[in-house]
Amino acid sequence: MTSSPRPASLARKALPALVLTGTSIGLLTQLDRAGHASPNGGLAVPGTTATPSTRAPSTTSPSGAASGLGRSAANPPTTTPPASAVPATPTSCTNNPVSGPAIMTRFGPVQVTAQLNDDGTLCDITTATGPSDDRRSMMINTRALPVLRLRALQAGGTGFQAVTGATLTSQGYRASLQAILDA
Amino acid sequence: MAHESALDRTDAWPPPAPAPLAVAAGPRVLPSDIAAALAAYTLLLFGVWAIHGGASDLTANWHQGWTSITRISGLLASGAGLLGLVLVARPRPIERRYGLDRLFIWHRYLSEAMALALGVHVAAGVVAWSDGGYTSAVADLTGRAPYMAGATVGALLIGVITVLSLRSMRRRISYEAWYFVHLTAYLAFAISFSHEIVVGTDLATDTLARWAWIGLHVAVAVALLWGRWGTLARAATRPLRVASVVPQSHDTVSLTLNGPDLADLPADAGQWFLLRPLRRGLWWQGHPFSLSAAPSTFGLRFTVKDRGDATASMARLPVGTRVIVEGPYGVTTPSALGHDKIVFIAGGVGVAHVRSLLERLDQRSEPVVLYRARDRGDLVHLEELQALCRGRGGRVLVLLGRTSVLAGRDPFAADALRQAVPDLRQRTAIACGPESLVQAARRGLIDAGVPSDRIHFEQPWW
Repeated sequence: MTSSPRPASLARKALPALVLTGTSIGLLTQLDRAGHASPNGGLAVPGTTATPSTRAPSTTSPSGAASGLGRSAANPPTTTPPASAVPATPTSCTNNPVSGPAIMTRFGPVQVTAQLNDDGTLCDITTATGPSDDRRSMMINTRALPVLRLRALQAGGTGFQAVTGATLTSQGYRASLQAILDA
Repeated sequence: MAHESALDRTDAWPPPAPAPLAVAAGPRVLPSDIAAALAAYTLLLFGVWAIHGGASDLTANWHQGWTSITRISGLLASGAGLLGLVLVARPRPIERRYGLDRLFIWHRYLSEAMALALGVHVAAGVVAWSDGGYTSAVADLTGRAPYMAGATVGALLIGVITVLSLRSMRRRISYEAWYFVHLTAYLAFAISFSHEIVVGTDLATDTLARWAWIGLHVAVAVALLWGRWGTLARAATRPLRVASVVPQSHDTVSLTLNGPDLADLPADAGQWFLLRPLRRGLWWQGHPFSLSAAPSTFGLRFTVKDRGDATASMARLPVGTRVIVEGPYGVTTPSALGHDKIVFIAGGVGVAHVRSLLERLDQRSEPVVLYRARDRGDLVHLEELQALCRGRGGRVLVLLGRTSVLAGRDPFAADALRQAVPDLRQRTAIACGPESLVQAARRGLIDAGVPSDRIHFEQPWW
């Protein structure tokens, strides 16, 4: 019998690929911080990581996003997340709400109503109208609008980051709010 | 004993007079079909982007502009990747026109294009979301936003595969290790898919576009399963057996395969097959080998040179071993050459290709074979080549010597070729052998004035 050299085994050749696959799946589970349904859709407000308390209330009410889907986006009071999500916000704003203009986006109008403090700074924002031309938009907006409110209140104005996946709504939101602040 | 029963079957098998096998037939794409399909596909990708305001967004403002770039580069990256996968499914109409080796070369080009577009997509995406700061954008895009963790890991995987596919890296790892790592691209496609249809503006906001996109992915997946794994499964149900192993030189053997299912297999001289012997360590990988005799009901003959690794074991297969045969592949067949006069330039096992083609060429071809080898001991099938050439009014010219010894006088320089074959420019040229030989021959032939559409070369890809 000739002693043929044994070809490299399948297992050894496939090892690097298997390691890479395992690493990828591990990394995937580590990176994905958006998996849990929370009122702000897992999108943390900038700075949230430094103040974990802002995130805690969100995760304790996981039904928020789900029930939000059933609501009309044009029904503003119910889309407002619990005030506790923004600790910096006073529990009551006394001044009269001011409505901004309805900003047309490709997916429908966006209009916000804001209450200002006496010094002209933002106290609270509600969404008067959110785009709702189809199911997709509603899904985006029930997730995006609460996040936009949080970000606007934290930024104290329109200098906040757009919500990933809801660019146009973010722009409409900014524009409507800016009009109130400029007035 | 297993071998005896196998021999019984093969002994009973060869019919008295070998007849040629049927030639693979079927539709072949036209270059204009491919151009039209590519144009329509590209137009669709740009169209989806444009009807959602992609073009006007470019100049709208900084944020929308970068978002728009992110969108189109993402669509193009996926688009190129999907086309690359279509080629891996080995679509027969394209293979019959261009040959499987070209399909794999295009697969590489499309993958490079995908990696490039993906780089732009990722960079533009980070810039587009950076109005809250780059740290926040990166945090959002790497997993804080829904569905983005998968996209991030998918992009990282494509990045790893791209780096490992660079020529300098590719040489340092074994083919098989690279091959398996590069299969993780399937995982990358799968885990990044959801962000395309949920976050991607063009697809998330347009039901029709979204379903078309999903449909496209399903179609490509089906094509892959059918074309890649379905054909392998069918080939596995009708394996051939090793009928004989004949030494041809110190490191080369010829291997004849036949079996009851041979008659169902179409094949033509000049084509090649992927062989997968059902032996430990060999079954999981197909190896390309050219036919070294015109295929007939007597069997398929291949010439196998021991180049280490798997080919070493291939050269030592016991008679009776079952071999899964996938093919035929390749387009340099006698019908493609017509009645042209032919010049072959061959080296190494590339001579197998020449040997099988010669058998089916007629007197008008007056074949000239330039056979390059390091030394006399490396020559295989020389007498067969000489006999076949004599019968067709042609001749074999042998060029011996190590490349280092020949340095300074390129055996395939235009002058050398013209001197060896005075009517070179009236001939169709076929180059086969190692990549360096084929490239050198191609350069020389073009310099000598042979039109490039009359230079044929195929390289089963390793």
